Amino acid sequence: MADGQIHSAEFRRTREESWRRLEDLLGRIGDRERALSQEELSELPQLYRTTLSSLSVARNYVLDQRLIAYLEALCLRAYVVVYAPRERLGGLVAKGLSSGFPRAICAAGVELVLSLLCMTVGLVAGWAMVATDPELYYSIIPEALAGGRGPDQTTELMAKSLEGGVETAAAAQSFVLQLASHNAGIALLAAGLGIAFGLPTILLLAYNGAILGAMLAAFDVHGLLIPFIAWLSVHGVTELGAIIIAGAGGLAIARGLLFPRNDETRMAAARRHGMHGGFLAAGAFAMLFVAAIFEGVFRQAIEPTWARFLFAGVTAAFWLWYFSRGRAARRARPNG
Amino acid sequence: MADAPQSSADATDPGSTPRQPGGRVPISGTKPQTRARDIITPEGIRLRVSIADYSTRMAAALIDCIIVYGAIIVVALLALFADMRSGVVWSYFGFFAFLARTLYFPYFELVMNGRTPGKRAVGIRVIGRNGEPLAASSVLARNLAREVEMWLPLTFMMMSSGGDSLVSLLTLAWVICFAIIPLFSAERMRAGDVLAGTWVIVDPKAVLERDLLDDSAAPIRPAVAPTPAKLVVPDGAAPETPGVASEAPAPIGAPEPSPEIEPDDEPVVTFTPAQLDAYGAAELNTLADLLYAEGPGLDEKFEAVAAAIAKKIDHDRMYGNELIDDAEFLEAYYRAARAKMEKDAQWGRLRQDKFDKTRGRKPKTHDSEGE
Repeated sequence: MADGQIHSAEFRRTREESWRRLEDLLGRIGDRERALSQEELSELPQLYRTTLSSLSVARNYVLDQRLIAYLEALCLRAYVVVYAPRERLGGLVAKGLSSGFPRAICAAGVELVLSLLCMTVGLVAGWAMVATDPELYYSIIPEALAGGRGPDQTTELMAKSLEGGVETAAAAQSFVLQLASHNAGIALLAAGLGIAFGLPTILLLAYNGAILGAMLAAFDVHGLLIPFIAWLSVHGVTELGAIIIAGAGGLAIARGLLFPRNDETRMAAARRHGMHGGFLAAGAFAMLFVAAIFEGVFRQAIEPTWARFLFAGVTAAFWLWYFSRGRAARRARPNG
Repeated sequence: MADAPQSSADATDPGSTPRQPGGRVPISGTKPQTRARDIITPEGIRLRVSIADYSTRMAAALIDCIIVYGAIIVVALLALFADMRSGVVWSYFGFFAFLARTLYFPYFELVMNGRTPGKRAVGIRVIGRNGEPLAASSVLARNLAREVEMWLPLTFMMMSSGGDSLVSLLTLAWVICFAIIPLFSAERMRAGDVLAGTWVIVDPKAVLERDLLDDSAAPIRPAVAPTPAKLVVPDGAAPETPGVASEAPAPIGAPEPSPEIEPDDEPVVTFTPAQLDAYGAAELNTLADLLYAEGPGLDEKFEAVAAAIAKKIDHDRMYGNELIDDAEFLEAYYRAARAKMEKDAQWGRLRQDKFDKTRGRKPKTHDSEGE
């Protein structure tokens, strides 16, 4: 043994095979776990921990920086794979919808109230403005949304705009698609603008409220308030609910950035509330797709006012039941 | 923003020694990186990650944008050929464009474990802050912010190109506002990373180079035949030799040496323990860097370094009547010194560098009983 044989050389010689094996598995796994067989997959954490222990030993007893750098990089690569979330995308979505989203709703009481308040203030203001000066209607409501409706139109035309059943299937499809992308885009924006400390979120909520208020005022002028509310509520319960939730998400994000709790850093608060806001926004996003289907399909199919109210009532009951599931989930795992 | 790496990990672990100005170099750890952070795995091992550059992230975002808009344009062309007049086709196109834009990033970050095609192309990935696994809600949060940071101004720019100058100006201000946020963060976090609690790190590449101790591998330079180094204990002199070291219990249960390595009778450079103690781990690493180096002008460097070492340790560089080649001499010294130092390290006496007076030299001989 006097020929220059050194422990660290042996150390490497005896372990290199397993390092190479880990390297090979990591190279093949790429992004898909299915690239490996079941045995290889179970081998991975084992090899990862062996390599970690190699690294730990090498750091203390091997004076070869390149070997240590290699082991460290290999361990990090394996770490990222071994501790990656196991869940498939479908499972994640299912879990998010079944418990994550309702729980986020139940945890967002203050934000939801604030969001609703912003919208209500906008609604009242919009109504008051149009009631006093009908011309303001056109400065509040964008041309595309007005669709020829307005306080100065004939009552006949306004009533006709609340009727359904005239559109073709193709028109209904394109209506649903446009609505879904438009509204979902607005919801994401409302929530995302929370990073600008929430002020744009508040403005966006108030503006959406004002549009609603102006519309209500315009139909009220013609004495069509109740039919309009019925017409609106078919999808409005879901749609406005989603917008309020998205706004609450934005406010949650802003709250995390502005008002961290005493016992946590601003970064930790931003993260906690940021994830919360992200969840709310994603849920609102999904709700708006449902709302678009209600708006594009059911609103045309259901005509009598009472039936529209019934439908709206059923959707409202459904959402309340769905969100209440979050309470139980929160009780089960309060911090989860 | 010169930020030292967080050395909070474990001060007693020699590997975690931070780089202090003029201070000691750790025995181990990766090479100094401008933006390195330590994470602790659940197994309690510290791993160093390097935060991705701002420019690298920009490049990744650019690639991803090109992919998204490329896909949208392709679908637009298809829609154009399918049916120009039909409103339904255009609605489907608009819907696709919206979904592609919105879902591209979260989809890939979830499915590809924190990467997107653009990130993969430039070799970066998203992980949780302090190395936590990337949570799905983090992906949602960071891409929700992207809506405001990236897509909103992009959409505005496309809509108002050549239009209202005030709108373009405000859009520009908006873009700059969010684009420079990462530059103020030590971890290069954009607003979305702050919300999501994520870091974007360089995806490590593990490349194992040959060991300079390994005789069986190819020589450093084909011209130089590797010489097995041998420690020769001068009569009655220092007890510490690799021979003793190899009989001492190995720290990691090293098995018997491979039998195929046999001593040969090539010229052998010999060093006394005192000569091997002239330097510390830092100098050994520098020497290793030189021995691994490639390129022109190496011969001169070898010559200069060999001369300097020979002078410092007072070595005549002779074997018999033969002057030993520079590279051979350096390799032999590296091997012998590393053997000595690794043994010292096992007994906690490794000298960090040649100025280290606390350890290494003239050890008490409680480990030399078996002589």
